[in-house]
Amino acid sequence: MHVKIFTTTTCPYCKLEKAYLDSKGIKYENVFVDEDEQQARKMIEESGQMGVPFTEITKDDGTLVKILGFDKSKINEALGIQG
Amino acid sequence: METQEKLIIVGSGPAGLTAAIYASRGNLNPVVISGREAGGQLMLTTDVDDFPGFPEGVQGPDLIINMRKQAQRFGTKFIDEDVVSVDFNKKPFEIKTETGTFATESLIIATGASAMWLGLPSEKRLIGKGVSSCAVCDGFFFKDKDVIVVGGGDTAMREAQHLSKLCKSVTIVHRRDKLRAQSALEKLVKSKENVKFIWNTEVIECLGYEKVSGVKLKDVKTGKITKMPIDGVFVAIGHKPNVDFLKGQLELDKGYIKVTNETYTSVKGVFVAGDVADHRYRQAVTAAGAGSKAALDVEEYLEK
Repeated sequence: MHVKIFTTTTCPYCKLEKAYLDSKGIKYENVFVDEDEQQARKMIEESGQMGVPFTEITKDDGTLVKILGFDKSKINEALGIQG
Repeated sequence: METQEKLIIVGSGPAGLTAAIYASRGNLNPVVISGREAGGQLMLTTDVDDFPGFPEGVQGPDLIINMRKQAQRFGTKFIDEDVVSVDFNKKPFEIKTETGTFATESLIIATGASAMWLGLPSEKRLIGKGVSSCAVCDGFFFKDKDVIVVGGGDTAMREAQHLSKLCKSVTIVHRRDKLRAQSALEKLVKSKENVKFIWNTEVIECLGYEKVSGVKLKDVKTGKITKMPIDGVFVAIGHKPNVDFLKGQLELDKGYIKVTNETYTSVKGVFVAGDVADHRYRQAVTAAGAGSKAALDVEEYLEK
């Protein structure tokens, strides 16, 4: 399982999502798209839009779940955890 | 078995959280159903310079996170879901969330108000593709670009102020001939070199396919329609009270919950605080004040 979150340094819901994952002990890769243009382009390409947070969860069987916004129930479902 | 709560608070902005702080200190063991937009409008506000006690200003999300911690310190429980329905005919009241059902003796509604959109099909299609209602969230994507802010109130000024630091130009499009924002905010925005105004004008269409390329504007006085090339559209035309989940079970007044005697609603045992009942002041500090009043009134109600 790999969790990657595209965020910006100022976005409040990004902070909340990261705090939530921290509280659940979930490790994740955080990319600040406002500091990394290449990753910003990648995010727009993969999500087809320009809103953050954008989360990609790659499960152990290789399936990729894309979640736009801090959507706790979708995140819980993809990670198989309880809220 | 379903437990019965003494008090449920719906909403977790300054009204709901202040109510929770007071109620938990009053041993009411409140449960806050915080909602999908937990924290409310302050979560999308950066510099809050008018909340007392912060001489250098405070970041909206920090203020909310601290209020929430303060409520938790006294034992408030939080459910991070939306309320989907309520039944005030049942006693105790029945509250349904996305995954649970709660019974409670009393209720404080502090669901606040959410940002309104223009309601154009072209706007909806382009949300996240150049149309946004949150400059602090999405502003970065418009670095060194040209954007418009639609609206003329406090929110529009805050959005414009934030964007003016990032964007090449910010044009405020307002349908009236003057702003209705606090004068301090108006002064701040008007002092920015890269901010311009277009008065008496409405946005009638967002243009672009993959992303926003422009807008169609209409002069409300002359009816003249023009096209303006632009990279981003930030909508800040006001807020509407969050009352949909009530489905007509409380009396409303102009869309807001009707209040009598400070915090009382048309149903006994159901109290209200903050922007969901306030079309006049709509400040973080007035919402917090209303939250404390509602908690004190609940305390008195439960003692009877």
